[in-house]
Amino acid sequence: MEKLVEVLRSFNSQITADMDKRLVTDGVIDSVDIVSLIAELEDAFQISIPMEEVAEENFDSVRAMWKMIERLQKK
Amino acid sequence: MSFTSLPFLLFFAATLALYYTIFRKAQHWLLLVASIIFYCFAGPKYILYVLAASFSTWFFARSISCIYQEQDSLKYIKAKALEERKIQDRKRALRLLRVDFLVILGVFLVLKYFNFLSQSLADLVHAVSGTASADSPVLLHLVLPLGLSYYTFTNIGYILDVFWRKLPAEKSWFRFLLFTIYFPHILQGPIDRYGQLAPQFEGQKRFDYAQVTSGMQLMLWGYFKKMVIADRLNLFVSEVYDHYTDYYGIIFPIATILYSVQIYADFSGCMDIAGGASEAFGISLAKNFEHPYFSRTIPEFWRRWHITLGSWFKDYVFFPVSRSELCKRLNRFTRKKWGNSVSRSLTSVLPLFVVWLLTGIWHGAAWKYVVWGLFHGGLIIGGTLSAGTLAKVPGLLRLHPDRPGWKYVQMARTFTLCCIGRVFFRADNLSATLDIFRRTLSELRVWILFDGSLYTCGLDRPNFILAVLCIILLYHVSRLQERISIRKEFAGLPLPVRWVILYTAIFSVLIFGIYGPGYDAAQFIYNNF
Repeated sequence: MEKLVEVLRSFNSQITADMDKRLVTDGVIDSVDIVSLIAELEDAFQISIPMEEVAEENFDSVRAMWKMIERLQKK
Repeated sequence: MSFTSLPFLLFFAATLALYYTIFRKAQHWLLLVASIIFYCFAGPKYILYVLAASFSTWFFARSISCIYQEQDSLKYIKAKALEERKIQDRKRALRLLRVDFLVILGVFLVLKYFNFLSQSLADLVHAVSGTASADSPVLLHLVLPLGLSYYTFTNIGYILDVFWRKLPAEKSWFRFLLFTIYFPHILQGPIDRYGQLAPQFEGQKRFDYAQVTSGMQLMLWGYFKKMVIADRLNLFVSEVYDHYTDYYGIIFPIATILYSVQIYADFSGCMDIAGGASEAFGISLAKNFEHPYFSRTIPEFWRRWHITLGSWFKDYVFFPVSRSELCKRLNRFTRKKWGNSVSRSLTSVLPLFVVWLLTGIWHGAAWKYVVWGLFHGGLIIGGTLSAGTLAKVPGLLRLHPDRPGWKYVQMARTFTLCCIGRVFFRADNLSATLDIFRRTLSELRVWILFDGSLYTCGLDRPNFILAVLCIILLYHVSRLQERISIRKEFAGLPLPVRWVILYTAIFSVLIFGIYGPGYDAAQFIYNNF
């Protein structure tokens, strides 16, 4: 989890450790950011994010992203 | 059957009455039959296109879903074999997806774009050879089925969601058909998502007086926007744009600003009628507008204007193109070479370009729409590439970004840019657009504001003043809607006050609405797309 927050903070300094802060809904990140973020997360966590996971709700908070990463790491 | 016609109101009232009485236990069947009847009014033969597209999508989505179900049921299989099986299944599912695309996209592309491409090709040959071709271009004499762009997109969205395993496939074709053909959204959207709309057709809806009346109030506001504001402005805008060679100067900016209001009142009015009608049946449609002209930037405008189309393009075009091998490689390369910030900007260019090219073409088979789409795409791409520099502007001007003054400057800038784009959108073609820009800049002719000639362009003085007053009302209602739910507040008012307001609104539409014998009511603008 700490690693995720670190990756996110280096990506966008507006992202805090608040697990449930809305990132897409509140306009902290947009769809262009999501695409870049996917590449960051794939590199940092050695995962491949398939199209079925590419949805705004999976990137709307730190918790949602962490859940997605955990789900993909289990696969 | 237009939403603004008397037959529609009778059809809606009859369906609503049957929905909560005789057909209480078979409400979704009633909605299906009513929707088919509604669509048949547009021309019975066109229903075949809708049925075929719906059946094809349902069948292939179901087939894809069966492949996945089969795969999920495999229990005693080695990991390597399972991986291979998954790859094979993915290929089979992809083949089925392509066949469905061939059917529904094929029909869509041929009907909507064949003549445009054929004519463009003939023009190109003529331009290159320098001589007129002996043969005229091959043109199909087919009429576009109403709502083609909308139901094609809802179908594509659904099957892609099934293919990406975001949704389980619907088992019943009739239920899926209802999702496609549901009469409040078939002609002009919103482009609803299956996962959000279809579950609402389940179960038995009880008559809820507050919900039904609230839906009807929304419809009434929609009728006001369409018939009193949009159709009144249409008289002025059509006169100026359809006879643009008769005019010069400031009349064009005025007509363009009024057109921007007209298209908003027209489309959002239609969405209010559709959304209100659906709400009366206890079914919520997706939101399509969020006061777009209050946006501070163009990307924000597109998050608030025709929301379901933008969201569709984001999910089914922008993300897939961004995740394509080409974009992934570009992303890796640029990140290594220039870092995240530059990479973010550069790798978004290609997907954004594709999205805006398609957004333009979606609106119509004409070069003016392509240019309009690329104009907005250019603004968004430009904004993305120069985001860092633009963020410094308020600091350099010593302005706080949240100061109301700066906010209004940004809103005015966004509205102006939208208006420039609207000239491409409204003019007959590209050469007319360029001529309008030339005529606007060559002579200003400001005196038309004072000598009364402004009131000879389709709207006389009383109607022009009424239109302006209605726009002011629209502005204030929109401002209020940003802060409160007007319909909820309205429900809390004393009964006599509510009836006075309702009667005023009804009579405003009846007295000031543009309709009646001898007047050809303007079609909803987005019906044509």
